[in-house]
Amino acid sequence: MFGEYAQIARYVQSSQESLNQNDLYGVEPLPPYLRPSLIPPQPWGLKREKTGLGEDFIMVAEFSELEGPKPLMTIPKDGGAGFDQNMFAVKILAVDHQHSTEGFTITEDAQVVYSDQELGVYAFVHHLVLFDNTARGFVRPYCIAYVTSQQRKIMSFYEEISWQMKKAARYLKYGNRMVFVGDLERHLKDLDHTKGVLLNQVSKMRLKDSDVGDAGQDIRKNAEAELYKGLQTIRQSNLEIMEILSILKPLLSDRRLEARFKVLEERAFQHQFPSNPDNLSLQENWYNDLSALNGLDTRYGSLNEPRLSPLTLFKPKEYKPLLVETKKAKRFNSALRGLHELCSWGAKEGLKKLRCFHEFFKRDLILLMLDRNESQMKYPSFSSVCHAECMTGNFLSGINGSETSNFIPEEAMLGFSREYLRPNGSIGSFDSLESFKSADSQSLSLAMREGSPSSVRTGDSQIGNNFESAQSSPRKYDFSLLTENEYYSDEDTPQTEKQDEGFDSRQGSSSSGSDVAGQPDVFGHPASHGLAFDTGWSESAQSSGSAKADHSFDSWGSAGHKPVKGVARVTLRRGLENSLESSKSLDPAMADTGLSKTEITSRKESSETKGQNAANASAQDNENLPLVVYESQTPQITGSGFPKREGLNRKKSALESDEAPEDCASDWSYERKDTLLADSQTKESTEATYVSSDSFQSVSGRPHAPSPSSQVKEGATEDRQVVDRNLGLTHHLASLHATIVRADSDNSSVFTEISSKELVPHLLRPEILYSSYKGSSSSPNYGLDDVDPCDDYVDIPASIVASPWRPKYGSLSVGDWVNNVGHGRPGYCLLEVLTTYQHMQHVIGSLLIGRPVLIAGSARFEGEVCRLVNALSVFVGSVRRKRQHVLEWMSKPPRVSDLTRLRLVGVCRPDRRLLESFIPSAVRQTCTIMDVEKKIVLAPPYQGHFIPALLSKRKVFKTDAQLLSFIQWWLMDIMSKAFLFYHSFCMSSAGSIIYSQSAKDQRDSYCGAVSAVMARLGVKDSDCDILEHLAELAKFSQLEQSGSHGNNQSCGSMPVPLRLHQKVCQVFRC
Amino acid sequence: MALLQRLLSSEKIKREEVDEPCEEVEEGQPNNPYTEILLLQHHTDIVRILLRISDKRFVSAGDDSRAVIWDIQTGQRIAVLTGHSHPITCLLHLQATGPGGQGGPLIISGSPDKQIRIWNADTGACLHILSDHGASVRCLQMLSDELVCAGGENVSLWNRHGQMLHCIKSCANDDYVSLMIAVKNERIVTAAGKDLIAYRLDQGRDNTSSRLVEIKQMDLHREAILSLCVISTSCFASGSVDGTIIIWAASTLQATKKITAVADGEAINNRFSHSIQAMLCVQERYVFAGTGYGFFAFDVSTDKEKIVVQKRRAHLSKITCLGLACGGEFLATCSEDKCLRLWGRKPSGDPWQDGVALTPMERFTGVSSSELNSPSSGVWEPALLGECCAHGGSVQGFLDFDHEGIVTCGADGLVIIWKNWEMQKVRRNQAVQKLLAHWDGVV
Repeated sequence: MFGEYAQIARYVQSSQESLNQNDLYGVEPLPPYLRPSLIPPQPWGLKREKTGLGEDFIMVAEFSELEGPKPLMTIPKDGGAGFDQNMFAVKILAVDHQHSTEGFTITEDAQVVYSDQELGVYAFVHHLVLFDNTARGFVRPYCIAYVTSQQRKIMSFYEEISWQMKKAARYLKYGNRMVFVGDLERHLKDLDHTKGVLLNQVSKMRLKDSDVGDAGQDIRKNAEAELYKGLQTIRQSNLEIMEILSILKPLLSDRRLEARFKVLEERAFQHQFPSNPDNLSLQENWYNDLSALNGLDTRYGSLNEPRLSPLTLFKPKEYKPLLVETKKAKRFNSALRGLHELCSWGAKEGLKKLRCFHEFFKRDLILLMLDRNESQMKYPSFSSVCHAECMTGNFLSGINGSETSNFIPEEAMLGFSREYLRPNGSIGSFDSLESFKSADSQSLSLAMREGSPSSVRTGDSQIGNNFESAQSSPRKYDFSLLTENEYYSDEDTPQTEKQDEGFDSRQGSSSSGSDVAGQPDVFGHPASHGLAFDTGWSESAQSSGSAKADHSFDSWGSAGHKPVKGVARVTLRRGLENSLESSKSLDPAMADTGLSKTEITSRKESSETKGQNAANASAQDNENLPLVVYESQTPQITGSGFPKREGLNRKKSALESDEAPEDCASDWSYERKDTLLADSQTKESTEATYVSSDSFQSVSGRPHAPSPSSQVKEGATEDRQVVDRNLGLTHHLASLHATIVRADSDNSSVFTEISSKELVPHLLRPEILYSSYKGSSSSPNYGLDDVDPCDDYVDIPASIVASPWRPKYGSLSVGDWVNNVGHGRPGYCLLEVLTTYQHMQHVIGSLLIGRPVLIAGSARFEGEVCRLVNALSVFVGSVRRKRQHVLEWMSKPPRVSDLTRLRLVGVCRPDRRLLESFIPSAVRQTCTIMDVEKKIVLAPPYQGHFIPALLSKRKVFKTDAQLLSFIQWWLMDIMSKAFLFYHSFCMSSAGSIIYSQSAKDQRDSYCGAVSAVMARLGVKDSDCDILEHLAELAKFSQLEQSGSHGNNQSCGSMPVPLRLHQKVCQVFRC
Repeated sequence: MALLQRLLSSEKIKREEVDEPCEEVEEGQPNNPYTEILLLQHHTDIVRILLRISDKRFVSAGDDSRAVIWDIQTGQRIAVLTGHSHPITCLLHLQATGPGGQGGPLIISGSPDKQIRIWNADTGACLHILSDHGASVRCLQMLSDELVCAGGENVSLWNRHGQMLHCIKSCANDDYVSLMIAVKNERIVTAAGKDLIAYRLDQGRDNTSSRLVEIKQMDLHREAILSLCVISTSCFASGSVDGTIIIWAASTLQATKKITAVADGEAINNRFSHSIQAMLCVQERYVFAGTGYGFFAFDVSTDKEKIVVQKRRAHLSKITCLGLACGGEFLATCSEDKCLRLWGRKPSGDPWQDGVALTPMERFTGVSSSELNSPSSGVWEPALLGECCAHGGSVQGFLDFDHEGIVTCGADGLVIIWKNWEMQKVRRNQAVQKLLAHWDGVV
């Protein structure tokens, strides 16, 4: 999860590369059996080739009463071309969901998930019944099927698909009912007319009576009997129709749809004469006559006008009742009407909906998941922060503000932190910040050096296996019923008892972890952990509730107060065993590693490792492994293992000192970390944190006996080796992944320093905790047997809120963006730019603190300037507003008033003039200027850790997409820190003290307070400015939002404050 | 207009001989407290006047013949006063005398379009349009809560309900009355060209029969008077283009002192490079005067006028106005060179010295009053602490808003609020906290 974007990019790219490789081999005269198999197995699209399902498609099929099941149409038009649609239609239409009752009933829709393992085709089928007065029983069974080759897509997005299908069906059905009611009423008229004719005939016959003799009498009687029979039939069908109408008419009261159809209709009338009259099937006005059926009172006067389409089926006003055939049984051999005829506007709208749905949904599963995760950051929109149009975080997502006033005094928080940070005898460096200063590059190189192929395989395959087991392994134990409290209740048990637990309880990943892996949120956003409260934060709250030692935190559940130790332990052990099994059963195919393969699986890894990381800390809690005391000296080594050890350190320290508060404190501290590590936002992340703590040990087959403190050093060394090897390999394999994992450990370590309560006291809310807990237990195996909670289908009320993933983004979604980095897109050529130019950290630093950056060059350099602007625009942070912050090329000198808006501008410098004379001094003072022509950067020097960490990676990545996805993660990481800063400082009492009215004194005091918080966050120097800038962005956006509400129109909008970064600038050669 | 002014000023810069190099501000400006700005954009022409109407609001007006009420905290535009057809030349704020429309706080604006308009200061609604005087208006002066005097082509007296009580036509020979101050005993001193004329308010039996009576015409200045300033109840000062400041006794209307900041030889220059553009009185004894490109302050309480502070060349161009900011910590000078500069003393790092300053002058100079007044002490030269550079044209007006910051307006049509970033961060924290406390999660 930490590097998923990078990995996606890698994946997408690698699939192309692999193709090229194939070509290469195709040229060589090697027999096929000698060729090394370099084609990476596609974990998600294994069977694509088999079925020829190039892309997902939607198929509409009908069970025709004349022909049987037949496909009607596909979206897109050529969808499923290489696929036996007829066969498929037969399969999916082999259902009978209609009620077999007497009389007319409304059949409810049915939704079926169909999977064909053999073909590798999976479908979500929505069955619906349309009415047609010419059809048998008035019904026409239809189905809409979303066909894909990615099984997980349907499972993961079950609700969304279901909802969209229902929505489309709702349009179809509503339109159809209107048409049907119209048809019936017309039929009633026909019947009336026929009745009149028949009666007329009777009376005529009776008139003729006198003229006819006896023989005639008989004939007359026969005829009369026949007429009478006819009249009977008419009466019967009349009654029948009346009944149907009485059922249907009350259902036709959807004002929203009616209004929508009306709008469409009016539009159609306005465009009466379309420019392309030959393409009738898609013209709106083709149905205009049908549409008049909306209201049967024919209120649309325009319908009478002669310019009606000649294709009109019937014209209400000119309608002439027909004679109904009463003598013969109804025949059903005439051609059936098409979908459009049956549903009029409903078909048009419904299919349009389906098209949109398909357009969005056909993308890769991973992109959809990214989108989904991202969507959680979208609300409330005014507090979300974007970089380069991609959302990187939201300061208020998931927060219920009513609780934010529950501040805990900063003093108390500080006191607490001091307590738990007190240095502990054996752990000298524990309280220092060193442990998370980790220089990324170092760790990367170390990890790569220590890697060995064998362990690569183990680590990799294990991860893959975990992933597989997510779907296949049955859940024996319902882990979701365990709360953190229960887990952590073990902390209170004496050390000896824990030692007895021994190896078993430490065996690797728990089944809960595997389950989680199968859930959609494993691909959670890296930053989301810090940013969304439902999960991460609530979880942390839970944990603090469990660590209830001396802080009277109002914990929500009784479980929190009554830890059930035995249960917790046993369950845990079971889970661990379970997962151990799964990790033993290594899939050989998976173990057959190649670089590209790893790249692909790295997606999975990333999701897994996250869980593992998190679990490393939490599960260890139960075991009391006194590992790696001197770990903090070399914290950078261990990629994903790092957090674990951090946790262990703490745990150890806690155990050695018998002080309850400290114990508690350390637990807290790494529970926090768990929380933050557990990126996935959903409630299930609670479980995710318990994944596979010891996967590394178990894989290496080296159980750790809990060593007494005298052995600590030795144990530490050994353990480190083991862990390093295992982890390092992953790094070695997928350098991309490595960096990300490492970075994550860096990230996580930051949070270890601050306990949850201390950080976000106002966010700890019992209700949220409870709900999240409930959420985790109620849908524990999301991916296995989905049950749509709202499956019993009623027409979706108009008020229903749109599902969150809907593709109406103002900004790009990360997946799309990274997938389509091309000319003109933000970030294009960034890799090249970073490699070409020196000292870019100062420019990037300026962008990140919101200092405007001018990139100047004469007209000749316009292309280069634009390229730079475009590439660097990735770093321009903004709240989600329509303001434009980046301007590629500006030919007049920028003014100060431009700077309130623009953050990155390409400036055209007249050839003859110096930059100094061209740009006004007021602007010059507050801007960072880069002269492309002279290769000079004039900027305040950046001194921090964030950007060097990024720049050190630039050589690791081969393409922009990889780099950009890394940057996206990197920004999210920064955002998560900013988020912590925002909530722990800005929103706490400490951030709202005006120490002095004197600007200077205020600045000193405030800066002191800020740097104290930043130090605890592990942020230093120039990086503080970055965080503060992000927090300011969010604050202003919120104020602006509130300001724009209460005031009347005459008031102007709030001007954006422009910070004047009056800093000492230096000239760098770039 | 702005263009013209820019042309003129640039021309001037070329013509002036630089005798003393103008100081450059320290890079990074560590002592400049104004690190965040709000650009208030609504005016379309030179903004000349800023007027504080409450703790939270101020008005700006200028050549685009409209006035705008702004909120100092957020920079939001509260109301726009439109109606004048010519540039607004003067603004006046009348405190509320009672509740409701007429008794509420008022803004009075004057313009060469021969109108005076009275506005509600809260809503910006125009309450009265006064045109009885029938002449262009250049300045307004409040005499009491009820009475207002307007000067221009003539001098007229109004009450707050818009009734003209008296009008003196053709009071000045050729020139318009451009400046007006109220001094002791309900007297008004007006400046028109190089003449000063003093009027006395003759209050009749009832409110409507008040009249203005001319007392004396004073014509000691050799050149046009550019600034008038009340020093205390007993005296006031006038400064003219030729660099002369005359101190007048308020009771006798006699000149008591004549101060020239420049040696006689220098003044011959004839370019009026030492004209007194703006004056400011502190503690009723120190008068700051912006003269040409520099400024100086002298003590009027001693017999022998003594210059206590002087900066000969403070700006690249003419100083347009000056004022104290941050409770006297800084002297702010605005200039045609598009900058506002902050002057004061470099922080000494000596907390004792920082703590003892009581009066604004002590705070500004860092020198105790007694020391400042002792005849032996020399002229103190303030240090350049900050340069506020954001205007695109000459800075025309300045307004101190204590802890909220300062406001400037300029020839580029911008009004800028200068604030302290650190302070604003805390304020925003407070505001957002308040917001979130009432936030129900649904927006």
